[in-house]
Amino acid sequence: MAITQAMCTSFKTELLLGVHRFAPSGESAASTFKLALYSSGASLSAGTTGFVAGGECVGTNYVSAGSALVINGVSAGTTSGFVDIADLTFSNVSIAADGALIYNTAPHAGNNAGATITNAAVCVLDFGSTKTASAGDFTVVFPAFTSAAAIIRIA
Amino acid sequence: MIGNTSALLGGSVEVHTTSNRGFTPEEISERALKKIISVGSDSHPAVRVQAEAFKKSIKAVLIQYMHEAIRSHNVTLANRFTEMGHPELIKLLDE
Repeated sequence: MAITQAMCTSFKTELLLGVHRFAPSGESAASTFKLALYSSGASLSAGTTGFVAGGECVGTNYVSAGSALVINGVSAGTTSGFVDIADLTFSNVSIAADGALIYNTAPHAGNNAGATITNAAVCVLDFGSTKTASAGDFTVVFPAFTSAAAIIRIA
Repeated sequence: MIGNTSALLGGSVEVHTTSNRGFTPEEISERALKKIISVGSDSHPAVRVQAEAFKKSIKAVLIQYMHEAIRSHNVTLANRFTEMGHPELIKLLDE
């Protein structure tokens, strides 16, 4: 069991299939992305293809399957494209987490065979250690929205 | 084939947590500042100094308005408490 930070391999293929759309949240074309928190007992890696319940955190005021992310859209650098994701706060929670999974709850298309994909994985985040909030706020802070630092980018 | 193209997971996320309280305006403003102003490590020293000074003044403005927002929201809450018949809860907002 381990959480290994990675962009999921299935996500890379699904990008080419038009499964994921990082249009600003609320736009009609936008996919809905969520972030779920996991304990060290979870098994997440580049091979993760979708949301998994195993190892997900359980705690006061934390709702299973996580919370929706606010996507602010996509921008271009000189030779890159990158996604702007707003920080996510789980409010008034008592929880301990070692990592997270970003996944798409509303994929726009199927796989090569046309089968519908559900809760498609995007990437696995490793917090580096156990992060704990006790009757407080738990905020996942995304890196600056730049071509060099944005969490999801194609360079 | 297009060479040297890759899908990347960029910089790492950070996790900020609190215990028995929420974040303060000072803590939140630090986060906001990182999104508003980014100073490259290889920037010219003069530009860097100027950017840092600008950052400091923006931080003060952010904190001031966040405190104002909290005070204003507390007024709204105080009115809600009164409307709901619990004016005694208003004192909690002042603590």
